[in-house]
Amino acid sequence: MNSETPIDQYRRRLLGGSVAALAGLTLAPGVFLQTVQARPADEPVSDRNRWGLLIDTNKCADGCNRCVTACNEENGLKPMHGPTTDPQWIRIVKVKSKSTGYQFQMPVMCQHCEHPPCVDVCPTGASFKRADGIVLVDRHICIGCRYCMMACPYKARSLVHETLTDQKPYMPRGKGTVESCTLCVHKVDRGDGTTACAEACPEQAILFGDLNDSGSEISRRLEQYGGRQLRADLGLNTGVRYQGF
Amino acid sequence: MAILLWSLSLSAASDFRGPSRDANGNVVPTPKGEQCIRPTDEIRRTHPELLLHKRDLTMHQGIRTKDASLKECINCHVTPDSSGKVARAGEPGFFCSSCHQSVSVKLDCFECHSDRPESADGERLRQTSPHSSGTPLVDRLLSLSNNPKAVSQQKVR
Amino acid sequence: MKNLRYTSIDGNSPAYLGLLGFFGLFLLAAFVAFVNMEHEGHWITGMNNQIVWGMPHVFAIFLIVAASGALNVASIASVFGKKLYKPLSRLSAVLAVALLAGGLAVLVLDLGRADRLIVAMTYYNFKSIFAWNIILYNGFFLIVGLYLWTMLDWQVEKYARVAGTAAFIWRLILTTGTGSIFGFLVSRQAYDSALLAPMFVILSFSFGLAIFMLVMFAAFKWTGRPLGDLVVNRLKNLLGVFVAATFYFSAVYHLTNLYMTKKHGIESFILLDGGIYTQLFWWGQIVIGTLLPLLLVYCPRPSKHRFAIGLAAVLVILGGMANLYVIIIGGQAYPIPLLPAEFEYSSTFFDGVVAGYSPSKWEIMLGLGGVALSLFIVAFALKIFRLLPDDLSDNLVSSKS
Ligand code: SF4
Ligand code: SF4
Repeated sequence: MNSETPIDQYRRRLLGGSVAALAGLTLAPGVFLQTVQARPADEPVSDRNRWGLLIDTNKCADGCNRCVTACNEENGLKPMHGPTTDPQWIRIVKVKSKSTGYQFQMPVMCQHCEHPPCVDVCPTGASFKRADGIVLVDRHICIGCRYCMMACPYKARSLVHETLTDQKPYMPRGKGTVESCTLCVHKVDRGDGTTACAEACPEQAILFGDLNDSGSEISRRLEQYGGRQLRADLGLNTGVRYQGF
Repeated sequence: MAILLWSLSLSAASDFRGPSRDANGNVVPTPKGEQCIRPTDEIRRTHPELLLHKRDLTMHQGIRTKDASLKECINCHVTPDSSGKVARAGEPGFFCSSCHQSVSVKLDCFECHSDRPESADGERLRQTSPHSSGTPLVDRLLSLSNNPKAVSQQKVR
Repeated sequence: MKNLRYTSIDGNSPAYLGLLGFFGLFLLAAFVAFVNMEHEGHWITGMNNQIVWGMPHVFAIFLIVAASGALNVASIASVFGKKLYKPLSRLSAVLAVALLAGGLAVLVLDLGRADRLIVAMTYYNFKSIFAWNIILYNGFFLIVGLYLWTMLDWQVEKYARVAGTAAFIWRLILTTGTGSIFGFLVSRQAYDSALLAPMFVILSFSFGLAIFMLVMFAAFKWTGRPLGDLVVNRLKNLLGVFVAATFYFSAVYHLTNLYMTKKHGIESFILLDGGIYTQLFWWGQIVIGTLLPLLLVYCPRPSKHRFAIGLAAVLVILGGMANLYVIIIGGQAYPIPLLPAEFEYSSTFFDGVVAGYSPSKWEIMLGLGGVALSLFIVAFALKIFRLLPDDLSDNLVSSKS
């Protein structure tokens, strides 16, 4: 199911990443799953790819929260015991410039750092970075020490504070372990070529793509307009980039 | 491609047959498939290692073949009993629990992993309407997301 | 000094058993708290996704830091050859081990998955300072255990100095490691400082000695053993020096932070307008933990009284807890800078605001349980090992040193 026909390749080139999802809706269910060269299911991920996101704050519409609800829905995050302990893999940060008064908002999630502090500090190696740049928590060996939460400069991580039931089959989660944005790794591995948040954004403010592929739209847009990292001073070389401010 | 996907999802959807029971009417759920991925003797002995090995491959290398995937075990082995009820993890009629309880080997897989088969229809519906919010219709019909604890409670201290 | 005799205690008196029972109550409470936290999940505690380390960590880190400090008395005796402290070395080593055990118990029982301790012991990420700490802690038990053996068994007594030196070096590394847990957290302004590691070493000196003195007073008094002023006065002066050194390090830490513009925010938070954290800093750490003990220890009048010296030690402990609370919880409460100072920002995830925290009873029960565990171990060790000298009155001590 993951092999890509020449027609699909052609269509991908023709449509480009951001409109492909839309096309997928109108053509037939499942077609938009094939916008990125899919990896056979038995082949390990490799550093040929580096998945990332490009977020255009100019497009991010004031008051919109669609990416957040889509993420919660996709990954089965539900409100439990209140905002201080509920998990948030992605959040909308409202920003205002003190000098000019310019206001905007932007989604912030795990930045999938190339040099992730969370991975460095994790005592068991439960926090790890996949070869394709996606930073994950291996919950099988996470002991819930929360050191990674102390170390992450973006507050990207949450502890599961209570017993969970009815998790999504593709997204196991459980009490006492730490979690964060997985860059919709189950979708990436399936070859969807997008994330739930990117799909959900009505303004196409979030673009998923391969930073290592110079021909990908994300790379082209970054090359053309540049993109900044949050806390670039820390030198973490994040996989999530921002444009527009 | 699209046709292939359709047929896949159809075959997955047809997995929801009616209640199945074994020859003795035993509570041990009958698997959906014809045959296990390994001969019975072997799988009884080696399933912990198989699952552990696959777990690391999937987690760290993104290898998501169906062989020895816990999700696929669940898809095949968690089926309704004669009354149409699907046992939850930990209950005697749940496939893993039936054995694990009698040999008293504690299982914590299902603290995190779903103990329900994947709903192929739910998946497809949600993908065609990525903007939908709330529980997918099919999930609700199958009462797969009926989580009493999911009600927002303010922290009382 | 030669005819110093060490004896164990009978440990059958109602008072002794009552003491063990008293500690046992706290252990029970801690166990209840632990079971509850594991069963319900961490939402029942005051800790959350903003303040990820809370009261248990204040207790745990206090005990761990104090553990290495409690070894000081033994180190001074065997490494630096001060005979005066020799009779107290055994108690010092046992207390060190006990405090570490208590601290680690709290740390481990607070884990989100405490049932996976075996994972923590079998999977190591050697880049993680935390993993190194696990090794350092285990090594500490081993080395101090051997050291204790050289003190208890005359056949291996000749190795006492080697073992003592090894233990001393190990403890310095251990506290440096504990300090580095925070020192390497570049993301948080309060922690991103090379000074934290040496500061923790100094903290350990004063916390450890304060606890040691209290335990020593109690042990001698309750078992009716004479304890001369000579030793007590030396220890008390030492405590004064350590408290002053702690203050000095704290001052340097804050002054260097004030020198860096990017850290002005966190500094004014701690020193001026951080609410509870500012209060705890000035009243807890400075007044209660530094000024009052110094007065009690160095003013000619009060410093003659055992009670005043004991009180000074208690205040050092309270001030130390306040100090760690400010470092650990205050450091997390202050918002992480996400964007350059030019921007102000907010979110549903408490970006850009001071995070709230109020410790729950479960956390405090767990923390006190760690303290009780340490003291329980000491009390029990006094019964099964010959740790205390029969008599430590001045004439016996001064005859030799
Ligand atoms: S953003 Fe945080 S959680 Fe994500 S990789 Fe970087 S340090 Fe780790
Ligand atoms: S909470 Fe889990 S993932 Fe995070 S540092 Fe601890 S063991 Fe690693």
